[in-house]
Amino acid sequence: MNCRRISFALGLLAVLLTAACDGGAPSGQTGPGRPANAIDISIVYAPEAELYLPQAIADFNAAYASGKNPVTGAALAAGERPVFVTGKQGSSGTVMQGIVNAIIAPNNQNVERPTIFNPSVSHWLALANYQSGRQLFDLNDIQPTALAPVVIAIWESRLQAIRDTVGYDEIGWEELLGVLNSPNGWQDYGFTGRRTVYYGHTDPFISSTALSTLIAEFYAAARANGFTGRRLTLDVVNDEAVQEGVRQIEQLIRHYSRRTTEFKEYIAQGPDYLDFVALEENDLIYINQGKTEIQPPERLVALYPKEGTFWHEHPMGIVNADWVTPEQREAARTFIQYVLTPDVQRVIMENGFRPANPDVELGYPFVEENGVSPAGPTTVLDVPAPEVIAAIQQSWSFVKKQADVFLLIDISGSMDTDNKIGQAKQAAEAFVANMEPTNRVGLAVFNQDVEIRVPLANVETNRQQVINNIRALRAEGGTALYAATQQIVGLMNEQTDGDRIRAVVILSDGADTSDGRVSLNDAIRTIQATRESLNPVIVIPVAYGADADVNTLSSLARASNTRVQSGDAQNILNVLEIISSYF
Amino acid sequence: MRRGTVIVFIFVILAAVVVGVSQFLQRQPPTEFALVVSPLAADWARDAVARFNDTAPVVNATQRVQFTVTTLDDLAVWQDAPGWTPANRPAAWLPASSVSVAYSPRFDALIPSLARTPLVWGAYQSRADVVTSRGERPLDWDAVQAAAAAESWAALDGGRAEWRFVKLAFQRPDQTMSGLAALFTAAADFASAASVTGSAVRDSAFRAWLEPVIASVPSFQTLGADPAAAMARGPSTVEIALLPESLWLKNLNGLVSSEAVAFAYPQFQFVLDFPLAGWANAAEVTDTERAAVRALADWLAAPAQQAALPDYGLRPAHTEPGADARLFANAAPYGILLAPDYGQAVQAPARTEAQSLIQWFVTTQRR
Repeated sequence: MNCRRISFALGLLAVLLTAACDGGAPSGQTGPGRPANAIDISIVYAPEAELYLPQAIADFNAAYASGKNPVTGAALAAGERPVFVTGKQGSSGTVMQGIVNAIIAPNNQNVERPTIFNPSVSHWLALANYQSGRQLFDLNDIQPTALAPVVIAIWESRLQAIRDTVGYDEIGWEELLGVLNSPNGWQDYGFTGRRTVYYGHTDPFISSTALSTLIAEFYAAARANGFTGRRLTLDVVNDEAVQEGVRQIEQLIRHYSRRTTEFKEYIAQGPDYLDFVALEENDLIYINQGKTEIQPPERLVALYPKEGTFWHEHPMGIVNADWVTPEQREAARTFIQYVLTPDVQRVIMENGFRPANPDVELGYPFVEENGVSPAGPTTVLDVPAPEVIAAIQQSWSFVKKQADVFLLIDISGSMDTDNKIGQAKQAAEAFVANMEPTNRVGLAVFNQDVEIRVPLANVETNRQQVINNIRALRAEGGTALYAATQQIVGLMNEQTDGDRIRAVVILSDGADTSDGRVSLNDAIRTIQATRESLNPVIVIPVAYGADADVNTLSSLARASNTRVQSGDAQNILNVLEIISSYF
Repeated sequence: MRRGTVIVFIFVILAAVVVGVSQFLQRQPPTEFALVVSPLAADWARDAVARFNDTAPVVNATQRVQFTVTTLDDLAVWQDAPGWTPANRPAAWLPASSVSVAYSPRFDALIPSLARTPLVWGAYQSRADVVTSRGERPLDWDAVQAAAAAESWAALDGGRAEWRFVKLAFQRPDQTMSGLAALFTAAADFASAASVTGSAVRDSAFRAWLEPVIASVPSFQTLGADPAAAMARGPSTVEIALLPESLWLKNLNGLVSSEAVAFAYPQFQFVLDFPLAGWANAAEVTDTERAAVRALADWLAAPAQQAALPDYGLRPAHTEPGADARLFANAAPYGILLAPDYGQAVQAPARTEAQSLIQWFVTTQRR
């Protein structure tokens, strides 16, 4: 046969075969965004994952958009559909409740239907199963993605003082309570000035760190009461003596906070503000790396309490519900696999979390300069059964430190402009309406005079009276801000019930126009004088109006190490949330 | 026309026919079948199936097929948790154990084993030294149960008080075949008989003996899908565990970053043997499905896929890993063997007895 003809035939064959083989290439993409044939999945993750997960999601989606499998890096196989992930953050407790609501109360305002739930700790997944009465999460199939033990973040000087005083290094709740119970507080540990211990943690209904901390406090109180078992039971949690022990630990609280995000900023102010807080280890690294707005004056160190702590494993649980199809379930697995790849795990580690993939070696930032021990905790507590965790959560309202709050509202004539008085009334009423009934509240107002409208009493008994008075307020006259502050702070300081948070919330535009008999310094001195007591009065000013004298209000805030909040109409809900979270 | 020209012409026609048929087949959407896989073999199966699909397999001469992989533990399948109907059932199932196929009337075994992994004891060396009295006795059920019964390390000779409670792990017996198999080996060990009978698992003395072991698992919920990965956080989380060898191998780097570990093969052994099973009701199975499953079975049993198993910590069905198997070689200093003595093979009890054991476990671990 003629060679040219054979070549022609083979060439033709090659061309035809090449054309035939092109049919397997992935198709259907619409550009760099979401491929048209993608399987959509969603994830709701804990706030701390905001540091790394948005980028991981973007990279994952980008790989699929360019026709590659993000886990293997290989081109998509014939028939392999891309996956498109959308993510958002949410506090673990709130999201857990939203998922449960989606099953048992779908008309509730808080409803979540994600494919993957990524809380800080698996307690929430067990609680979701318990509260919904079904296996919303297969606890055998959850995958830890980033590890962080809960630690007590304490200033190095404070920890050293405790060690020097007790004469050993293994410190836990027992020794921290020792400072509280010492007759002269910190002064017995070699510090001059403030005697009382300042501690803080977040809300265990919302924050994972707070929930784990509260469980750890129950363990500590139970051990102090002779409990030798390895796992808390309902009997132990409901024991009066154990609850009293937890109440005693909670007496260390200076104030609460809604989320860890804010607490990082509070503690960064230094030991004058708080002596220690419960945090995830990554948050402590974050502060020591100088990433907070305020630079800490000394190093925080991670105290892994000798009584034990918990790992927060940031598990990714795929929801077993009718809104997740088998196809989405497999797609979710692929995403989880991607998060566990060494490259993503290294990014997670750079953000202060220990890698969940054991193949990734622990490295920076897990060095002692950042206040952590690379070895981590030596004792990990057993996680109680879900019904026990639920009981601990429910106990919160009666073991937490209660609060006395005096609302001090500026009704001077300047508050009448731009409806500042209207905004202040709206905020004050909403605040009182949301207060817990076991707290106490009082109402005072000032223009050129100071008047106590409702004396301090249980919210349960005087809520309506306070609200009625707020509704009737009218703005007129001068502004005796300093005198009012001095009088009400003094009044609160006379409340000798030492086991309650004492606070004055000032709603004002801040411009004192009085005759000067009481100066700003006098007011500041009055606030500062309470800091010497075992239970200082907290002053939280809320500034109204664009012309508010923020400098004056800031001076009052600084005197008790708080911050001025903006009372703008658009910010009312946010301010309420921030102020409420203190109590 | 010259003969050469005719030959070339015929050749081109044939090529065009071949290409035409090929084009036709390429344009036909492949018939998709589902393979359900035990999580323990999922990584290997996914990659092997992806390679299978890449070959654009055709069965019955003209029918393109491909498989999707979903993971599900054996227990969910044989307890019928997915609630499969003829419309959404899988075509094939690759469970961890042939016992699961025997327990499930909806599937028939096609290939008895595609891979293997035995259950292996693993312990941090410091803890192993205490429970084995520094090697004077084996790391086995008796030694581990004695430690669990003592509850705290301070109560054990050589144990340190700061280690506090003894912390054990195995996978959940009510949700995983590996966890259930761990209980079977405990029953065999307690009765000193490889055949686990109904009376053996119902024996109150056995259950009383096992109770402290279950109580020594810090929390099944925080162990997650991979207790070996949880143990890699350090001995403060888990100190001793009975797990599939493949999980140990995959997590070895993390495990030994805390301290050395010691592995031991139980005397009464339950080897997870990963069979391949097909849908049992022949009336519901089409010729295409039957042929597709057969083609996949042949592919998975082929030498190339079998040779890949050690890279995933699994043993090939009929041979042992070679000396060059990296995961196995890395674990050799800690007691993993290329060709271990598998001891006596545990024979599982009847399904109803297994379920009664599971029910007892659920009740006990809630206490």
